[in-house]
Amino acid sequence: MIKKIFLFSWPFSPSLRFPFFATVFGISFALSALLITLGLMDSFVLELERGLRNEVGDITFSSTYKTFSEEKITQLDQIKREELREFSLRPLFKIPAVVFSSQAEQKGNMGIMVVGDPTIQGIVIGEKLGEHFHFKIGDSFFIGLSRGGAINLNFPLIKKLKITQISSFKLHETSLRIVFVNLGLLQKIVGMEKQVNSWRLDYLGDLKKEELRKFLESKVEVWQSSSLFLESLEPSFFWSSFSTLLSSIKSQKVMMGLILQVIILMAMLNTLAFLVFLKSQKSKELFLFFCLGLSWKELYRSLLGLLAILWPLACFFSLLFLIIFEKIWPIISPLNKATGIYFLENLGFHLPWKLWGLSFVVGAIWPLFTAILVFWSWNTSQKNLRHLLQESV
Amino acid sequence: MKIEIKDLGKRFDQWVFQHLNYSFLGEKSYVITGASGSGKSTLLFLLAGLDLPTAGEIWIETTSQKEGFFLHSLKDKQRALFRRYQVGMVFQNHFLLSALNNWENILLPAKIRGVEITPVLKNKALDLAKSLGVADTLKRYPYEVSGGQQQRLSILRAILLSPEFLFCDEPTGALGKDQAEEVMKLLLSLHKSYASTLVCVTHNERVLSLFDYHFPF
Repeated sequence: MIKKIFLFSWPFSPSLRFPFFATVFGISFALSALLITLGLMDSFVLELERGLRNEVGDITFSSTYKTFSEEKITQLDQIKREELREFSLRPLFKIPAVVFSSQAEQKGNMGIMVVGDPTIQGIVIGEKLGEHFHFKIGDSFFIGLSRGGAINLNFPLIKKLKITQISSFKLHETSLRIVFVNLGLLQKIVGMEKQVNSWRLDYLGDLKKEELRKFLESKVEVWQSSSLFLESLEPSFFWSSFSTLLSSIKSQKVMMGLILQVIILMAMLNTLAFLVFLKSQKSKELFLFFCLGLSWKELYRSLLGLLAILWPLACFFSLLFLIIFEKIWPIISPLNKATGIYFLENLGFHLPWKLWGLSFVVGAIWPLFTAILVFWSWNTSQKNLRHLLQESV
Repeated sequence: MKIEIKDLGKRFDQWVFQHLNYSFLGEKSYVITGASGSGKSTLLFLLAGLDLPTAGEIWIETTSQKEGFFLHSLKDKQRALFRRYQVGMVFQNHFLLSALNNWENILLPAKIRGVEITPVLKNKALDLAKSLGVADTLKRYPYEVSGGQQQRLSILRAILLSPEFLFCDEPTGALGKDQAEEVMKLLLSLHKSYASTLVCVTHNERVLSLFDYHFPF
């Protein structure tokens, strides 16, 4: 009985196996491509935001012309522990370097920001900066810093520093213009022990981005009005600092989404045209099955059987492709080096759960659409058997 | 075996035919002729249970079901079963599925009946294929063989499970004169071998004399 029901669907004949599995894999690839594109777009934005936050923190207070005692931040932490309990506080020392040069470089120098950070060990430069000057770990460079930490004070101090680490900052290549130095070491170089000119706050709680933005903005107002952050420290939120970049990425994402939707729409119209074409072709085969003793109900059931096997299989394989794409391919692919920061693993490609949900929605709606279309087509044929017979003969 | 029609009529936009009375009796061959559009094929489809009459009755008696039944009063599923177990059909176009090879095509009715493809059935199919001259085409696909071979294969498909009623709608319409006569003779000889009732619609007047009865429309 089951065999009868699935007469069309189960590839009982070797000649049907190829078209059957070709259809399954065709649909799977289409679904996977759709989901992967959405996943990539989403991951790109998420990864960029994460990278920017990692680099500059959620909120930074900085002064470009005056330094403050590092002790103040400790006191602040103690005093306002209740209010800032969900933040990590990190003192930073940011100094623009007036000279940055390698001994044998050919491309010319560039302006560099030197950032003293207590979490950094030694001297760290970004991969792109290293590539630009052909640096490798252990190489030295010369840097000109203003003695005392302020550009307009004193004559520059020329120092030779040795690179201890070259880091990849993935998508956010602002590290091209930054040298990270251990805070204590930098303070010692410029002769400003225990002095900083910037504080970085990272939020550790569970608030979502919009809620965090509102929360921080309200807090900053309170902190400034209560003179907690003295004198002229200017707050800077990462979403404000990079607002142009983030909004352009968002626009790009919307545009890509629109283009993708147009492509999907075209694919749907193609499928529709194919089904209409198929209907005229397949009416002969339907008629044959009808003559050979299948009732309309059995033909319907066969179609349902076909959809019941084909679509879940296609959805299953599309998810399998996604897993391969997301988890396995990045590990086994030899393309990692060649593709550099654009490699999936480096992009932090990750499919949000909502996309997995979407795949099931697509998997449910699309067959329903097909089923309605084909049923309608068959019903028309059934109601006008004479037409079908004439068409068939 | 018997098909009896009483006051049979079929109407689409207008009446195709009305008040037809006739009996098709077992193991005999009948040829239906008539002008185009006179309703020959429509009558054949009514007899095969593919369509329902607008008026009149179709009484069927089969060897397996001696009490008989009115075909037109059966439900869709029961008429489908009648076609599946008692009817074989041959058309002007071969209707072989291009996705299946010829061997799979001729075994299709058996698949639909749910009959096990036993060595006995396979040998029967092979013997029939040899007698019809298509044994060497079985591994090929329909589009790889000639029109005459395709029609022989469709006859083989129709006759393989020994149906009680064999309905043919212009079975030689797409063939040349010589091939047409040859195929018609094959049909008649097979119908005799399998003791089925043969009802054939044709325009070919050269073959009328080969049939037991002529039903002019």
